[in-house]
Amino acid sequence: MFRISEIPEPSRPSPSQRRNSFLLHLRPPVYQPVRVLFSTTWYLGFLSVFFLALEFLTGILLMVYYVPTPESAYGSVIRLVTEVPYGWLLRDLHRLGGECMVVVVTAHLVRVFLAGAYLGSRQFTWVTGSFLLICTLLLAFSGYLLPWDQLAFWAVTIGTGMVETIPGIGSDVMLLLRGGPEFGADGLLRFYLLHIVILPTFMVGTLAIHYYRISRLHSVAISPKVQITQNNQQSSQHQKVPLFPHVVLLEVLISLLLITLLTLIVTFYYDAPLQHHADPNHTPVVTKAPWFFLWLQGALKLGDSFLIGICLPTGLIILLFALPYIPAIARLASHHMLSGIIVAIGAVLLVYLSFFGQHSTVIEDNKVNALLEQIAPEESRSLFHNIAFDHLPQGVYEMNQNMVTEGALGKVLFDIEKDISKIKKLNHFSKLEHVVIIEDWQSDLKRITLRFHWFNTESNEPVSSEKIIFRHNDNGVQNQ
Amino acid sequence: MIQEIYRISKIDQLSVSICGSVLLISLLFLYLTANEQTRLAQASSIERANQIEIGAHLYNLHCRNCHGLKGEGVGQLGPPLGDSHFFSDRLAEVGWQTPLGEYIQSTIQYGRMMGTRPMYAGNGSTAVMVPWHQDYGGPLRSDQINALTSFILNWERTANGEVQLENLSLPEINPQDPQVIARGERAFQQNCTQCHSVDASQQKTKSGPDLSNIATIAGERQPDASPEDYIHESVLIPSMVTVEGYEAIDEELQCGAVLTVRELNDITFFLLRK
Repeated sequence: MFRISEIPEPSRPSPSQRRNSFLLHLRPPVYQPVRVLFSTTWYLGFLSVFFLALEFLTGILLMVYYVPTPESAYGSVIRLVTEVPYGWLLRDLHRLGGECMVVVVTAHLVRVFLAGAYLGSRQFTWVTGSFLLICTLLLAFSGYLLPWDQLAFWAVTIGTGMVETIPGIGSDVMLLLRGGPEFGADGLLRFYLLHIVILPTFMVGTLAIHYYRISRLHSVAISPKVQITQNNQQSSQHQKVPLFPHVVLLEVLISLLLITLLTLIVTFYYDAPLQHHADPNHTPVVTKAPWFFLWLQGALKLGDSFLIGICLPTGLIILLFALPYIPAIARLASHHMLSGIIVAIGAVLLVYLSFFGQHSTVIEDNKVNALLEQIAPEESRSLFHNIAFDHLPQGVYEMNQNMVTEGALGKVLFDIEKDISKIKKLNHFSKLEHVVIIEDWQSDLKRITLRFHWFNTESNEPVSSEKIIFRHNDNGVQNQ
Repeated sequence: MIQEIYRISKIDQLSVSICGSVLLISLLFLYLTANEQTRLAQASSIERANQIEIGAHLYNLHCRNCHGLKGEGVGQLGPPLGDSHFFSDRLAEVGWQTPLGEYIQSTIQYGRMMGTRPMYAGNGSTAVMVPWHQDYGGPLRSDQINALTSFILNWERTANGEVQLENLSLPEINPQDPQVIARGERAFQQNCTQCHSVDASQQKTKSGPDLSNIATIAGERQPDASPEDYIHESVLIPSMVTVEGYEAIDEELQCGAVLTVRELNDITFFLLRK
């Protein structure tokens, strides 16, 4: 049906055609060629809508299996991955799609800022776009809690804990968010409803306004560079690209390629994280904010929780919304170099603070415990899970005897000993000794005990620390 | 390239590209479909293994004091869970109709008010096994009870003799080792000094008997048991032997429940030196 050898000059559909066609009602019937060039918009608006659609589609299918209660939420995610055909694909695509959406929507806003397209009739479009960015971040944050694992539970607990610092109303707002002093059934249900009903409704409503304004009032923003090139090619001003089939076909092609690429990524490279079941009584050794809020976690290290955790984000949001209405900032629209410098400084700050924010809350009793956490992290597989089960022979492996152990086990033991020799150089770790005991515990199950003894010269007493790891044959590197 | 696409109306190219993409995505899904059953089976077995590992940690934390380090049982405190009787005869013994997993789950969840075997029947006034589910006052969630169940069920192959495991010969702990004695003293200070002393001069302030010179006294109280066994038994079941003047002992007192096996051994070595 698309095999047309000669394309007739597209003509603008008549008003009656446009009234009767839903598609033509939504989209402009024809486009100027420059406005559909990749270099003009990098298709960031289209990509944002694509990821939103992907999130809707995968989200609705995930809702079929997800149960929003603390007792069942985690189990329903496990069931999705282990029992439901393609359940992993839905979950991974939803998670990866959500993360891509955060990147794409932010990039979209930055591009519009760089193009200076937030004045005149675009002022309110900028406001709706900013609102869509906030909604995207809130959608990502509210969805973060839903698997109900340790990673999600503690990240969101700490995130919502910042609200408590608001003078006067802080504790009430926090109670409203969490549904109690700590997250439980009420809090999870609130975040679920935020994620699947409230935020998507706001998002779709605002997107409709955003889209209407772009489609009917002022079209997409063009960067000055592209504008100059366009002015030099006057002939192209007279050409028009019809919505159908040209633009629609291109969008279908991009969507198909993106779905293929995302599916390839989640098949071979990406697994949506899932730690142990949320445990309100056990704070993990490492608690991290979602990566898109790591900058805030980093900033929190620099000062007061209320000032940095509440005032700074609120100030940034107000600035974002008010940007086109503040004359001093609005003048930036014509100073593209200056806008570029501001964006570059912002990006560097964001990356620096995010890097600074990593591992913000590390409970580290001492260097030995930190080493034990490194060997057998609480929320991921231990180093011994990277060794094939059959290469973990039963035995007692004491210090200085590891050189005789060959293979992968010998390498792990040697690495542990290297780390220990570094710790030994510290003042209060005198006579540090260690032993690794590997025992056959059950059928296909080994118990690995790591035991450290040293004499603490500060407290003048012997100290010992121990960690037990269980390793099942089916969990970890398989036998060759 | 995309500029080119728009400059001239190359619908054919677009259409061909779309067909190519559809073919590509179809091939990808064909590949995924061919592997999906294997992937599901693999994911299930990894999850089961994960459950067994989590269950092993929980057992080590909560159950070993009564059921033994490797499910061998501890005297009259708790029956073995890793022997052939448990896997072959236990369900028939209690008249349980559903599979063993559900029996284990239910027992952990609700506990056991009364024993079915006289030797584990407790003292008649306390539950033989307390409920472990947090809905009934215990510390565990449903998923943790499921993990514990998976771990206990994993004893089946060794219990039935399908798999033989060799015991690791660990170096003997030297009871005279000053490090062991020091560890025992610390554990005693942390866990026992609320009721006991090892110094007769402090005895007036304590609700339990003085334990100095316990090695000699133990032989007098239970001539047929070694002092070591006497201390172990007294810690695990404090009401088993009562000392004159301390008969009003709390029946529910379970000193052993707060100690690890190593702490119990260390405390014993420490007390035997006093």
